[in-house]
Amino acid sequence: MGESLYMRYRDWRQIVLVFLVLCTGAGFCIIPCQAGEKYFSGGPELFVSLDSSNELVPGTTTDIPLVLQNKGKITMEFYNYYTIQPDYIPTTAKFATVMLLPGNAPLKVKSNPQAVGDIPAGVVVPADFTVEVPQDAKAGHYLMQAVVTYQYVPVVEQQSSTNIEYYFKDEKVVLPVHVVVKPMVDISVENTDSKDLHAGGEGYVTFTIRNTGNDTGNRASIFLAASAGSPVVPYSDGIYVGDLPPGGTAEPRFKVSVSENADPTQFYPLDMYATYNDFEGNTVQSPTISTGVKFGEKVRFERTGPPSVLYPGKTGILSATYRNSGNTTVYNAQARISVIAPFSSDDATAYLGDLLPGQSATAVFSVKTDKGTTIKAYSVNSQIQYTNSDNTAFVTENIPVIIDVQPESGNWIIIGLLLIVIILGGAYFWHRRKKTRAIN
Amino acid sequence: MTFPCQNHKVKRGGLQLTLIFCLVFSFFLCCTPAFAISYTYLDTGSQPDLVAHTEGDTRYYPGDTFQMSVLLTNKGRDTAMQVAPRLSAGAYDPSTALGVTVTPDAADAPVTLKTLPVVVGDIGQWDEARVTIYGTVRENATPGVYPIQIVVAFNYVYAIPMTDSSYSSINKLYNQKVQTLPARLIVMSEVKPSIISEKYENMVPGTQGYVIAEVRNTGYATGNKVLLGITPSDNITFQMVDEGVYLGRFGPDETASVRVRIAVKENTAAGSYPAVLDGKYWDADGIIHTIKPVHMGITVSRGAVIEAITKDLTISPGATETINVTYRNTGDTPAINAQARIIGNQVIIPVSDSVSFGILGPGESKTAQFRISAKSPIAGKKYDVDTEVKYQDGLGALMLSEKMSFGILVQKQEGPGAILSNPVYLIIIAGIFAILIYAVWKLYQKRSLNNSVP
Repeated sequence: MGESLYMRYRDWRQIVLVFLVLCTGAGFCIIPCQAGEKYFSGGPELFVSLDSSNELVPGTTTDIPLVLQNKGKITMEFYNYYTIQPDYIPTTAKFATVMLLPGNAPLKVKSNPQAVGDIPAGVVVPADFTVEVPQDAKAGHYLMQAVVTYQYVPVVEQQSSTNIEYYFKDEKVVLPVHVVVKPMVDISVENTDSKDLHAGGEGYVTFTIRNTGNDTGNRASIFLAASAGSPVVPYSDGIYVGDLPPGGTAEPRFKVSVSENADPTQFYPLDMYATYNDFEGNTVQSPTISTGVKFGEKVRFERTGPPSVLYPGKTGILSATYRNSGNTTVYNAQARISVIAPFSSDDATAYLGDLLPGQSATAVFSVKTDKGTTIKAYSVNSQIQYTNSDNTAFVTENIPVIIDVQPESGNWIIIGLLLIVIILGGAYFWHRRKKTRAIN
Repeated sequence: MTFPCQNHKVKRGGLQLTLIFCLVFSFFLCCTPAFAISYTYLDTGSQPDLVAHTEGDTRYYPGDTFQMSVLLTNKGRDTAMQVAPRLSAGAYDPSTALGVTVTPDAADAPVTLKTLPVVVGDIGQWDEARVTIYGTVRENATPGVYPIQIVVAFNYVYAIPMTDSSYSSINKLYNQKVQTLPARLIVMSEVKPSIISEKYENMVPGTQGYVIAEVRNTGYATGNKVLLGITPSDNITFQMVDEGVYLGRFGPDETASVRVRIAVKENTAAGSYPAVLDGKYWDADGIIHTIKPVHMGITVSRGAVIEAITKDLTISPGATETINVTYRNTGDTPAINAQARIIGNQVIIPVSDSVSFGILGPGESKTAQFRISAKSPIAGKKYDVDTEVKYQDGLGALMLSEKMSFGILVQKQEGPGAILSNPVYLIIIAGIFAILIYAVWKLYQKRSLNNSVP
């Protein structure tokens, strides 16, 4: 019984011992898995590149897709059983925000700073921005700036086997982004010659165009387009001007028409651009510019002088004097009247000739008045047809001509003959009386 | 797992053996990779090895703007490794290219690259990364196969020596590696017409004319079944009559003449208008290609512009008179077989209304004589007379000038006729005659009285 108890006790002790040894072995096994590493590093090392062409076109709004890469390197790692594995690797750029600045580039960044989150080492992160390249941006190579702000953990302090403390550091790096503003032809209007152009007419506008860009416009054409609602409309849209080097000029001449109701005190807009072969041989369109066109006031005539007097039942002379009250010389002016009952005419046109501004000419028409025509003043329609300096014909609006129909007056010849008869009669009676006196 | 101490027959020395066995077993448990999976690599010189492959079609024509996709593959591999139980997983692989930066270099290729150095991150062994290279093939590029150099720069860890006696720290040692990888770009040959000279025949408003362009194939390809044409950008001002020409074969440096017939809208202003020379051709493989448009100008002349210089003429009422009307061609092309005509009205009636004066050259003036009469005119009125000139243009087409006008003043007669036609004058004359008659009658009466007195 005693041996049995001893044996029993010995077995129990043996089992406990084996259990403890196994637990120790298991502890050895588990401890490395709980152990941590301590890193030494210079922190994140950020680089930026473009995921697109770096060529920017003036006068456009363009997306700039940036790509950020973290090349941070861990130079040394400490490892032991009692180190707690930190949550943050010192090479990771955390909470990164990217802001794109123009730098020395002549453009505007329209996008706000972009939050891109964490950038671990060896990872690339995109950040898209939108920039606006002004139309007059000078061609060349420029450096934009990608300002990246982030935090990283340079130091991890393990206070004990169970506590660890992180120290975050704010960092800001400015990375250059190399962009190229593409050489373009940029046209500007130096002078506009639109003399002889007036409201309600058509004529020529000659522009003096200068290439203020940096590229040569090979085989260039200048295109003119009416702005929306503009009363000035080109007949044909384009003029070929050949090669247009930087600083060079051209004088395209466009035929345009002007609406009749256009206000001559205003400059009305026209859009203009050039198409050309660029330095790479591609067909390119320059940025569109707006230019204003001035024109004179509408050609106007006014009738002057007293109304013509006609008599019922008689063919009389209708005389109308027209004055060119506008500012434009008209050529080969002809007046035409349109008569209706109680008037009629087979001589309804008259030649006025060339009329300078302020000059007058009188048109004479033969007009017959019906018998029984009411005695009063009548208005007769008249128009003037003329040509401009380009021999284009125009017709004015109606110009009223006043006819004053009066009762028929006596015949001057009859009156004269009556006067002669009276004189002769008087002379005869005077002679008779004198003769009678002499006889008496 | 079975355990050896299973019954009471175990002796005292057996317990010790059992304990030793358990300790050894526990030690092996510690070393089991399944609990700390990491490896280290033997120094076999492993390092990343990147190769580049261009994707898609990399054949371009001169002037093309391209986006060439390049696939980078890391073919570096580890040839031997050993378990590193005390190293955290993924800590180090010498075959991983770290922080790869790609810089394309055009080298001798006739292209302009527009890509900055591109960052693509880490590329592990057998991993891939894709970069896009932007550029333009130069206009004067010679056909051929050109290498584009893809310069890739990266770091890799080549060793991790233990730096202390307890083997609890490692020092990562990095190497930088730069590889220049070839990518292939093919510049294709094409038919490229260049305009040597331009000529124009009768390109005047209101009629048809010809545009003749002498072109040379400055490209390197021979085109078969070549079609070339000239297309104005304004298809309202210009209407194509003959759109183009068929050249058949058009080899490099060969010249050809492209002659197209175009109708020009009336009232088109003189000037040069934009157009393009375009077309298509079949290559040696029978594939149709479109010719890149070549910009050119179509010059429109003013044509023959006839103006009546004569503005004002004067005639007397009633009589048939000869008038001289002078015409001038203020345009820039001659008017052939010109014939002037005047158009009368109810009052001014032409007796002879047409005159031919042959060719009226640019800037030349000629005077035509017409006979007209004025029927019941109003004296002092300036009547308008219309006139026009009919002529043939340079291609023999019949043209008609704009209608012109001049004025004819019907002037009152002067001298006795003018006096006799004036009623006032007639009254005065009648009065004078009456006085004279009275005076004569008085004188006669006086003489008769004197003779009757004895």
